[in-house]
Amino acid sequence: MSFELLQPDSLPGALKALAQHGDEAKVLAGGTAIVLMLQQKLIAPTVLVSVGRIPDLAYIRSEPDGIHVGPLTTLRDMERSLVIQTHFPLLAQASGEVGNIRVRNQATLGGNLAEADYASDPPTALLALGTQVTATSLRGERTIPLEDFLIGFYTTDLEPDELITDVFIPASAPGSRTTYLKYRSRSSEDRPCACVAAIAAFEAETCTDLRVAVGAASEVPQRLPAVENLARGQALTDELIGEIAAGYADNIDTLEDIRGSAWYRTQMIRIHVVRALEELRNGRR
Amino acid sequence: MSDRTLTLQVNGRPYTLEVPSGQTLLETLRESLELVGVRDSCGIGMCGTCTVLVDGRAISSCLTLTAQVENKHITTIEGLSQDGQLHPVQQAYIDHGAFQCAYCTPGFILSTVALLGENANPDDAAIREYLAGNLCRCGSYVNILNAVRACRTIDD
Amino acid sequence: MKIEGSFTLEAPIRTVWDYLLNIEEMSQCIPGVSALETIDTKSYRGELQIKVGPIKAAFGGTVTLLELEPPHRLVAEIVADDRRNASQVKATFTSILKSLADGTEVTYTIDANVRGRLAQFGQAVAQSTAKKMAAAFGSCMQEKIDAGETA
Repeated sequence: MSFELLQPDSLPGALKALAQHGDEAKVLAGGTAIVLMLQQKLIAPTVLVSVGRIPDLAYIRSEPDGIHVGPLTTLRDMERSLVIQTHFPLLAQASGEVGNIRVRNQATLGGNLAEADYASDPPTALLALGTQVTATSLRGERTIPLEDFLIGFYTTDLEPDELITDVFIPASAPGSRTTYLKYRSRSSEDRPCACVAAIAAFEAETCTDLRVAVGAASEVPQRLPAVENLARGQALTDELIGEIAAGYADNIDTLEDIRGSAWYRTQMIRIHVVRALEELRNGRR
Repeated sequence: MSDRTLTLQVNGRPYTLEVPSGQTLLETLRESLELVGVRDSCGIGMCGTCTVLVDGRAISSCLTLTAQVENKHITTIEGLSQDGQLHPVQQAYIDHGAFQCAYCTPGFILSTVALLGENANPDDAAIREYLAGNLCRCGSYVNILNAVRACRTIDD
Repeated sequence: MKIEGSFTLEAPIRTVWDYLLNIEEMSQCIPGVSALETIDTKSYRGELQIKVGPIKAAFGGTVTLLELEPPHRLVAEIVADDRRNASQVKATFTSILKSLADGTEVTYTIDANVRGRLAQFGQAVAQSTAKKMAAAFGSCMQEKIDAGETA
């Protein structure tokens, strides 16, 4: 591995390095993904910009309208955060499902999003939550909704000179019920074959809002607002749940890999959307 | 390519070393410091044989560049015993015969130390969850579980 | 691994066939292809660059036409390697053309054997990359055919 390692100790320093080296530079945060790609010689950057010395990029800050999570916050800190456990239990759950404890001690939220691996837990939960990513470069700052941020396999909307500097997760409606279901087809520590994150708000039996994201089954996690809207103002009957699940199963162009065929994933989407919605209707978390 | 001089705090001692920028912590610990209790196996962070503690947290040294942990406190299996006395977790693993070939043992013991640092009385579910990322191909899991149970401050 | 897909062109089957067999024109429609050289009437040499996220591959190799059944079916063998990623690809490419009422359907099957570092990248990424390339290829071919008709 022959590259120059830069370890700037300020955000402007890091942004300058990225602006200078462009596409030839890669960002090193926790390292669980990038060190692996370097070891396997899948990438050969000439410059690696380590962001570990930049202060104040690891935080979980609660505000009235949601939480801000710093990009260097580890997945383990998100899993164990009381604020996240209390207000965004599905995010604590999804963060706690990644790999093993060592990986979660190292891997960061910013790194997870920037890697854009299709078979990862947090992006699906974050998509259901309506997350917004702030990217900063010397040119300025912009906020990108997660659905526009994730573009394809290992591909995001980030420009080579941009760094994720904040992740904002808006608060859900009071009394919302949430769940995250991870379906594994191999071992307990494996990545998901398919996963479902769902959030619903109810007034008595009536569902007033439903958000469902399905991940690991296609290039990027997906929400289908037209299908979600079937639930608005309705009671979640078995029939309606079946209809919504079929909507997701039929409209997601599933992929095939070692964790399952495209056909199998379609079936797993249907089953897990049903389970997630039953869980929300029945009031369990 | 570019070597850099950096200081590592390993098992309570400072070491100043020349390290290639792409070198992993696993390579530095084994090759430069001859701490061979840190072991290479899967190379992708899944098996746990290269586990070390960084500021008390378990990480995979195969997925960490040495430069990332400069000035942080690194603990390897060699750093657990004090004044010739085994660490209580090491002793518990011996008492319970919690290994066969022992290739995985340093990683398991360090993960156990990190677990007990977070939670002095983990229940079985917490122990299983915590150690799920350490693999023992001899299958000594039952004895490992017994050894960890014996380390709780309240043993049942 | 097997990669399959199809696209439809608005042109008669004979026209599509002729365009497909005009290798120099056709290859301009494959995203990332460069330095195409003709070795003989049945074989060609060229380079193909592909980028998926941070991973870049640059293949160099040959394409040999093995079977031609105008205007319905062609089979080609592709042998290429990527030195940077120490990977080799050997693939059989089969394309079948079918006349439709308002055009021609082109289906393709790529039976590829990938060895080396890129192999771990897997089916999912290869399939989707091929699909995107095929879609781009299809619309580029359509443009060429349309331009050819009006010219």
